[in-house]
Amino acid sequence: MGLTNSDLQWLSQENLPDLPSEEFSLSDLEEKAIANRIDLAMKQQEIKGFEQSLTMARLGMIPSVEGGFNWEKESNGKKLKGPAFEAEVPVFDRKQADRLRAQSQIEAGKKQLEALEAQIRLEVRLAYQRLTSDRAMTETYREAIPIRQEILKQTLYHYNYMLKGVYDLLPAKQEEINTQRDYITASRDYWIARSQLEHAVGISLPIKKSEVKMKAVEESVESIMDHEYHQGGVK
Amino acid sequence: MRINFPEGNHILLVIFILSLLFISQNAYSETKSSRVFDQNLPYTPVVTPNGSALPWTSAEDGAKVFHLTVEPCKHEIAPGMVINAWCYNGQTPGPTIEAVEGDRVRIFVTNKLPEQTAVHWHGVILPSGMDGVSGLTQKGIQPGETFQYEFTLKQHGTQMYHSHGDEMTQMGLGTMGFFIIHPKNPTGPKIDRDYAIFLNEWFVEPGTKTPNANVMTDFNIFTFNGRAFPGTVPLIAKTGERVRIRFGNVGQESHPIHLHGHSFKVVVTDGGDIPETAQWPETTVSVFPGQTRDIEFIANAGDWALHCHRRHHPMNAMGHEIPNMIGVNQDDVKDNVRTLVPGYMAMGEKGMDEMTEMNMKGPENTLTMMGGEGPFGSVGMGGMFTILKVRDTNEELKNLEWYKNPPGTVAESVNSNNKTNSSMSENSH
Repeated sequence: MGLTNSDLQWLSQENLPDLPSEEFSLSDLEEKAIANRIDLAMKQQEIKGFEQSLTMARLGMIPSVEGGFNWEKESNGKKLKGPAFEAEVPVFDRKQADRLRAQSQIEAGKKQLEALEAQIRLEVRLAYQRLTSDRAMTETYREAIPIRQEILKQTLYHYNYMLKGVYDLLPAKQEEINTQRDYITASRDYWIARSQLEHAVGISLPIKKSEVKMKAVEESVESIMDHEYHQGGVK
Repeated sequence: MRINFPEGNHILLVIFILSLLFISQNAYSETKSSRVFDQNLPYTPVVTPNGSALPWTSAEDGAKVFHLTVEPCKHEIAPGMVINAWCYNGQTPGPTIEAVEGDRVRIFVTNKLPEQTAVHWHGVILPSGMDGVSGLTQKGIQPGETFQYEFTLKQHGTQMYHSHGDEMTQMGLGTMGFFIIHPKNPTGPKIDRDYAIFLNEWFVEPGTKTPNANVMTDFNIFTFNGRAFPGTVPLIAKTGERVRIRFGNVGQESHPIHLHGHSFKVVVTDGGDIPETAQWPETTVSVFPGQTRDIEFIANAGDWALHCHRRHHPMNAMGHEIPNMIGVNQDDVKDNVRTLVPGYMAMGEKGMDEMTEMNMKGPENTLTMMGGEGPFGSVGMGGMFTILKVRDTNEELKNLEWYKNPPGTVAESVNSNNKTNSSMSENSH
């Protein structure tokens, strides 16, 4: 990653930050994208260029008149000088090709602009959908973690009373770890989807900090169980 | 009091004291009990440990009038476990109905269950229309309805009553009780102590409260009169007294009930008296579903275990599909498991007795597999287990402690200096 040693002394947070509490409006995002996407702006500039070309081509229909002064020195030393005049006679070349090219470039550009706009809206919608579903997934897994922790705790209680065996206890722990991992993966996907959305919109979207803290994950099942174990202890 | 109850076990203590009072009122001293016998009742009243007798009133026409209400109730199996049961008059088993051969009984049954019911008078000889089989002999008693049953008792013996509408559910939740008919003209030796113990088994998923009536074979709670040890009160008797214990069963399993320290005879079945010539000595009596068995014996001094002899029945809930850890050394893996699951304890290598010494947390509303404190340590029992306490004097019965073994009559260690057992012998007191 091109980091020097001093940059590697990172400390990660104990828990993942919760998802920001954001409610995007899709139409708002689309309008933002239309207003901010660079490729769209480029395309618009390109069309402007073609329009200028067309203007130029149209100007080219007016015959140009050039005037000047000419002089030359003959080999015999005689100097010739006099005014020069040149005028186009638009009989055959009336810049039709230039005009047509510019016009078709404009038309094509406009169609491309429409296509690009549609493409951008599609990208925004897709990114938004991905963000929404990744958020739902993250939240589902986040809600599943305390349930898995409770199941593990209850399984331990069942184990303590010889109602269940250690082979029930370990899968309960495994499921808890899997859920934690699924939560982390879903959370990662959410942030990826969010950056994709930003990419699709063309600007960075400000992060609103969530007011809801993830209590369940903050209080780990280990601390709960260690606490109870030490309270109960062995006679 | 030297009887140790689990910590915080005030309810049991209260019930125990109340039942002692009840027992003492009815059958405490010989003189008092015979006075009761002579003056008030023509029989020795039956004591239903942890239960009660159903009060009755006399109607003008001479019939004995009883009232039963069948309704959902909260029932304590033992301290630490309360179930959502269906009960008669708020208890399971329901209160014991006692009457005398020849009595006309009028029983009003009010249904406060959410579904219809009927009460079958199990083993009682009566008109078909009073037999209490919903749909067959009568209309179901609808919720809120009261039915009147009336019949004359033509027999004596230990009979039962139980729900006969949606039986599986209603009986699975506790709708049953004793119907004891004393003989009009008692023959045979006088009974000094008469006990009735209803056998039952339940399935209550650990952590829940409502018995699952759908379970057919794998029960996990086994009860004497709806109580599991250490929630059962002891039975008491004086040395030399004739004791009768009546067992009833309308459950799903048979229960071979074993009494320590005695040889007894089965004297009565639900079908009637067994002729003396046909009685043979036993130490264990099997009581199958739908049966009652009355045993009689002369009490020997001591603290005697009375329990179902199926190995899993004097035991509370345990898992039957847990891995067999006997002899499995877990030293290498226990720390690894603890890393994953803090609080984990390796168990089972040396048997399950260590369970009784660990004070570990279990699921809510669930009894430990085995427990109960005795004079020599943990009794390590549960379920269908109680104690018959036989003492030589009324004084000892009134101040009930653990049995004081005569010197030299307690098994002791011969190769350890720690002869704690001897402290329980009579000499040291």
